[in-house]
Amino acid sequence: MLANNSLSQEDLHLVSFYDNEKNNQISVEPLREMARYYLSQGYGVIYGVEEFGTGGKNSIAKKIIETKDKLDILSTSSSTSPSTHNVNLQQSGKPKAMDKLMIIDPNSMYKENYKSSDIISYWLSQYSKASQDFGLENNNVKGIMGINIPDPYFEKKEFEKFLEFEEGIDRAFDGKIGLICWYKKKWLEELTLPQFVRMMISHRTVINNDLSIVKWDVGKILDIITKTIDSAAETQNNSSSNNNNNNKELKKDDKDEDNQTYSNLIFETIRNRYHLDRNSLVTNPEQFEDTFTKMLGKDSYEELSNNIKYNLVNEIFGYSNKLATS
Amino acid sequence: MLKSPVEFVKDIKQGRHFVLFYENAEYSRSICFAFLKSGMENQEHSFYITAKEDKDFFKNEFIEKMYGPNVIYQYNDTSNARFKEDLFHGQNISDLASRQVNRVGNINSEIVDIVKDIIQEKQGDLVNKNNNSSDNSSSSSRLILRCIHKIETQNQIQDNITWERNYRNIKLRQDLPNTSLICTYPVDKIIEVLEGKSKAYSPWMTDLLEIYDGVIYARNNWTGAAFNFV
Repeated sequence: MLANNSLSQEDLHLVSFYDNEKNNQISVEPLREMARYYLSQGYGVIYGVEEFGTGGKNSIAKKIIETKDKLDILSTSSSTSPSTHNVNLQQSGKPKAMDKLMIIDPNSMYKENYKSSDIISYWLSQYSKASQDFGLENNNVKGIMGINIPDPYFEKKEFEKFLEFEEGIDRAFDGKIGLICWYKKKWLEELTLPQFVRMMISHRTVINNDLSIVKWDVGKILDIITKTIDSAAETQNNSSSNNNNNNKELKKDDKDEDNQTYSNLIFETIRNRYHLDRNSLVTNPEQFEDTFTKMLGKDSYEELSNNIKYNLVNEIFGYSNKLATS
Repeated sequence: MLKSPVEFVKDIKQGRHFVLFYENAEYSRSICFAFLKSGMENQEHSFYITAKEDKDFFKNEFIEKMYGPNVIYQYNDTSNARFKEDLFHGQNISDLASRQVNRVGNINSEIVDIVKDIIQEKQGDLVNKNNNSSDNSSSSSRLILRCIHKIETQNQIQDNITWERNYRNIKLRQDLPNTSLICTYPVDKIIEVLEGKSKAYSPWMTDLLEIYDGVIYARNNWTGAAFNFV
């Protein structure tokens, strides 16, 4: 669960995911829920998720502030439970939280000629404006959390530009401002493996729809990569032994003992030959891709990288422990 | 998806040099068989040069394993079968290995000369036998160098590095640019050596990995891996 007093360094740049395939239509309700939660905890929120429709931003704000249960809204409880994300109301009936909520159209951060640095400048200007409006310096809010989607760039296949923004904005966070980025599953599938890994590394924490959080670090990513490699190698070895006239099937004990043989062989070979350790390969995924493509061949690497991506997605959504092997 | 060493060696490109570290000699031989057989199927000459075992043993085992107990029987076209057999050439250089132990003469240079002579002579013979053929595919060849150096003492390891760096990697490449090669070395525990746990063999293995075009590992339990570096 997220801290309710101040944003820890690890909670400043979060990523959230949504399975657009499992749910037939896109629902932004989880993001409204997150906005409500932060508001209920005394934070200001910049909500840049929904396009302004006919109702304009007020209509979006109302959907965030008004919950289904009016009784909840009228309550002044300061419960920290995410399921009772109550928002204080003033006597006039205008929610106090409305003053701490800034709605922006996600398309407003898109300009065709924008570079990643321009997107960063755009968001910094929004934080600056929100700081003044919300009274951040006077401690009227504990901090400001932005909620953002990559869709305006990803729909135009400008993956690289937005990912550079993700990596760059991290440096602007000073403990008072933070950002949640919300990726649909279909975007994850369109990213290359290096882009996928960079995206995961630039966010240190995943926030789930139920507001629970999961830490993702280099070690966790490396673990999935390693298991995918060894799983693929096991398939290869089984296939080879089946094709071998001499039937050199592995004894079970041998397999158990050597279940990390292939990944050890490739990573240790890379360390000896190219002087790169396995952690640095994950933190520099383009180098990982170049090295693996050279060593395994283009076709084998492509298949392996697809399997790694598949297993990363499965781990993110918690779908299955079964690893893709081929 | 990931190629096994046996599959991998079939596609080794002309002129590339690979090192094969093995814990299991039988598995290593299977990989070498596949490498040579694949070359012969493309009408490439296959050379097996060893200081470790009788060349006829290898040849007999190779022929039997790859083509069955009776080569001619296996092929309807007898001349084709003969031709395949003619493509295989073995040579034992155990006398040179003995001299290495006693550090007599510059055996590294002699090995290069012997390998070069064998390959060029056999290729020449074959070209003469098939002089009606206009294609020049006979100029490419595949070569196994099996245990041509002992690497049991520090001096032997140092000699081997000298051979690898100055003779195999430079002279042999220059003299036989169309020959793809696998040089085999026995290693007790490959992963431990790779991980730097062997004072004697870890630096040696790192040196070899830096000067080869790729590596093949054949482990005790018939698991392995093969990687390109270029």
